[in-house]
Amino acid sequence: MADEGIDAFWRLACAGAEIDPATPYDAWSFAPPPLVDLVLHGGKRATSGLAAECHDDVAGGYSVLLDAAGGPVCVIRTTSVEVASYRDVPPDFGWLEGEGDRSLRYWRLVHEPFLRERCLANGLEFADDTLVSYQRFELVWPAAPAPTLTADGREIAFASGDSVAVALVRSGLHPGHGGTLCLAGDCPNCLCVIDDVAYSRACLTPAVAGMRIERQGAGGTAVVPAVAADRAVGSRHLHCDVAVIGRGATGRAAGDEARAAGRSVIELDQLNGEEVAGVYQGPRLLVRTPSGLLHVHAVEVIVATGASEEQPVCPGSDLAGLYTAAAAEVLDGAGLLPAGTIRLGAGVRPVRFEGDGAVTGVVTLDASGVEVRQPCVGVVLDLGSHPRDSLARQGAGLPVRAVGSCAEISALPPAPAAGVVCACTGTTVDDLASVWERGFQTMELFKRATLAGTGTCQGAACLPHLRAYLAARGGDEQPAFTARPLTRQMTMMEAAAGTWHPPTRRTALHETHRALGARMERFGGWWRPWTYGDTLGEYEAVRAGVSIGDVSTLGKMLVSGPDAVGFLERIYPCPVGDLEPGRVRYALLLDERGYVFDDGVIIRDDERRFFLTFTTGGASGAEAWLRDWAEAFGCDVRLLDRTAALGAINVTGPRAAALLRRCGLDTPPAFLRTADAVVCGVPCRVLRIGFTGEPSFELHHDAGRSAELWEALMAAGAADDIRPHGLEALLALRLEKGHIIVGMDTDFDSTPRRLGMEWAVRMDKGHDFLGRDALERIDRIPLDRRLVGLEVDGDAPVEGAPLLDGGAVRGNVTSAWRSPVLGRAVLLAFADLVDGAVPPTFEVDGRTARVVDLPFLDPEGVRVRA
Amino acid sequence: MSFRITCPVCGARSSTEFRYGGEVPENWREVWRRDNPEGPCRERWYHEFGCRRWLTLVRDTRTDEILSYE
Amino acid sequence: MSAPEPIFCTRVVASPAALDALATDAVALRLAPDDLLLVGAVDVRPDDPDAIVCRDDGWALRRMTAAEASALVADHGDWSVPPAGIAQGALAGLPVKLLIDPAGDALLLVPRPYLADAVERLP
Repeated sequence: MADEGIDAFWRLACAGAEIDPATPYDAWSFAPPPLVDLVLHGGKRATSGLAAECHDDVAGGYSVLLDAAGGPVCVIRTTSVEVASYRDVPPDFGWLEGEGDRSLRYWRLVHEPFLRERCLANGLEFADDTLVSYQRFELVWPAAPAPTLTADGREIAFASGDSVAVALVRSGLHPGHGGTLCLAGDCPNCLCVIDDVAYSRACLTPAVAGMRIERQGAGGTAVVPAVAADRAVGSRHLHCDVAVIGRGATGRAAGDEARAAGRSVIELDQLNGEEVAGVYQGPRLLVRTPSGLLHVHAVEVIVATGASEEQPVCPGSDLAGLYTAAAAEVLDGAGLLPAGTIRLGAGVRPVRFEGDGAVTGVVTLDASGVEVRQPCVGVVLDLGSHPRDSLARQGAGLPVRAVGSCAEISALPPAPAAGVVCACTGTTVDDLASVWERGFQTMELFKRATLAGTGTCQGAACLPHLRAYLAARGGDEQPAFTARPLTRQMTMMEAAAGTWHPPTRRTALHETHRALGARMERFGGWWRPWTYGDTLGEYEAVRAGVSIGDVSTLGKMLVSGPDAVGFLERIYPCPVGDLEPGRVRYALLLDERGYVFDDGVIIRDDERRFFLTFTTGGASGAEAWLRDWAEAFGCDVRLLDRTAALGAINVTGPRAAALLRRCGLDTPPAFLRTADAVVCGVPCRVLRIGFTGEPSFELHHDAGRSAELWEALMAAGAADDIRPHGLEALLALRLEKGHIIVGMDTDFDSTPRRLGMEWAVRMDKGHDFLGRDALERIDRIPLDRRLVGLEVDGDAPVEGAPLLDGGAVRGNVTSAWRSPVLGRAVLLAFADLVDGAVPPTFEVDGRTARVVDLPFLDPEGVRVRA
Repeated sequence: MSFRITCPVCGARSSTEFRYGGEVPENWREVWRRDNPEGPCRERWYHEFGCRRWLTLVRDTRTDEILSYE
Repeated sequence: MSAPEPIFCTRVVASPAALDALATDAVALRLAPDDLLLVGAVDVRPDDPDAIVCRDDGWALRRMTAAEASALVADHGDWSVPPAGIAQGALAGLPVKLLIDPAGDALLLVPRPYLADAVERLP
């Protein structure tokens, strides 16, 4: 090595690690070089690269790893080099590479772009079968400190590659305080609170330095910790032809077969941290991963989850020191199976285990049926296995099939005689007997009566024993109970992942309102200025001067086409065909039951083209409503929702017309007329309406120019003390005029008659329309209640307050406001008819409310037409 | 849980992107009649988050499987 | 990536045949058989006497690469982005349009009333 620094480092390492300094070595850095930190501090023990570029790597070779500046950091020794396709990445490589969340998914995420780039540089085409060199190594020098984690408040050391369960056993702790360990995710005997997440399976969770573990106890309920609010969980959706659950030999073969048939395949395995928690219609798989929730949408699902080992059921089965055969193999491999552990032969079922906390003896029957006690410090059981098929059963009726041992039918064990059957819920054989005696004798009832199978393992451990018990008592073998998602616990954040609040829309004037100090409120799906801080002053400006309000939220639609008139005649209960261009007509919208669900205006642009408005809340439904009926009626019309594209500013007040003249509108349209005009340089469709009771001009314009128009109107009106009004003032202004707000002064079943708005319906208009049949029928029934105006002295009662008549509830207030100009409170209310008439007074809020004619203000409409 | 609906304009999307329009009535004058069948049901869905157009399909109300599109 | 910017577009609603026959160099999104959204001010005259052609200020636009668009949909949607052409659907609970150019560019269109939500929800 030319670099003296590196050579000096090598000699230092050789001295420290007792290596012959003459041994050849290589020196290189990762791409990117900072990954070397993971070797020292993150447990990184593998690396991979394009096989075409890694000819020189051999097992046994030494390397000095360099940092970004080319400085030596550590010495590693390659322990194995394996060349395999990208697709066949060893399942533990995500973990060993030590990057990201150490999942295989993350490994693929970062390695696919890297390998593509290397392929490109070598003139190769990257594909699933591109050969990759998978190299494992050990850290030789400096020695990494043994990593530690905290278990029940105690710091314990663990070895690289340990699961949390193995790490706990390594320190002499049973991960769940007791019960047979399966170390395969099938039982509730190693549940821990891991980094604040309760019900985590310690056997499937890789141990990471600094983890905090609280043991829960076998099947025990955890004190669910308050989870940090910032632990947001993402969710991703993947689509494929075939999803394979389980990457054992059977699963891999199924995946290969599907790929060979040209189908896209996604493989999932809990050993890679991919826990399939549920199978839903679609089929869709819900998968927990360390990097968030995964939704896999597949055409077909293959369940190759294998089989789970049978757990023993007998007295003492909750002691520590009991292992399934597979668990024993894992622990033995780690050198953790204590001497004095005895192995029972295949199919040998103990009568009981003895011990206090930990097993000290096991009792079995000999060939002649005599109890034999063997002292021990641990017992390895080999009771056979049963299909791990809960995901396959969840997919019943869906294109979901089980393969391999997951699909094999296993023989039931002998009926349990004593002990805990379901460790999750603590259900004992005595409980089963009691439930049976009370008549719960089918599998589904058994589950509900005992709760066995409803715990964290969802029957994986207890189901064979429950079926065996029922078969022994009832004679017939009963099928397993219905499997339903979820089979794995989820955190609240996981459950919420990928869901969103319905958004609230903003008009183009949103920031303008905020700059003016408006209090914004959600109303009808939009943010609207409720008040600019002085509602009475805003009200006064409309009644006595001039004011502007943002009505951009109104629904707006264009309708054009040869059938436009015929279509709208069928939509609206008022005539449409006789409407002349230049006029504005108020209209109710009725559903097919004759109930009012929206209102707005109709404007005719020409023979076959109309502009319609709808309420703020009704806007989102209006387009769907019109399109549905246009299709149902077979009308040839073009429809365009203009709600977001157009802003609208209402200029209102006695001095509104004068202001608009100064802004370029020479002849403001008369009441219920419309005109196209340029106002303050902005092209507008001007609608003269009267919702506030004062002359009102709605200026509809391209939303991109809203702020400019608003500022120009405010500037032009400065001499008139113009001020904007918010929704609170607007609601009061219209109430004094008796104008309803649909949804506030209407119920779901408000007919025009109940609203006192028969004038808006023309049964004789010569066209059928939506709701007409219903109104004809309803008109034959006597009216039962109607919307009325009420006045009451003093402050406004609360909206929703009941109307009382002789102690009986006779209706309710829908809108209320203490009118400054009238000096009393004015209300709209639904009132029952008594003997065919609305009583002249009601009691509201302990006061007398008088029924009066509507509107409360300016009944002749002098002001609004001024 | 939601299911997938294939919009003829936009492709397969979650049913949560759609507004449910109910059963298709035999006759628009009898739209208040609802059979609410257990099994195949001809119904309308509006792709609110996409093309904003209606489609008609037959859904099995027991399984949410879409049996056919029109 | 940058935040979406309000833009103005041209909206054309006409018979499907008239839209099929329409020739334009503008960036075009066919939202439905009878509905066409053109980015910018475009003078088009579809062959349909009842066509609606108007300025449309209802959108905000963000430019990105097709790869970024795919990543965005993978993280915040439950559908996948086609290699080219228009895609419409829910992204982080918002109704969006995507236009993917085969050359690798993409446009994301968000209804203008949801612009602030898009900024907050789509990093």
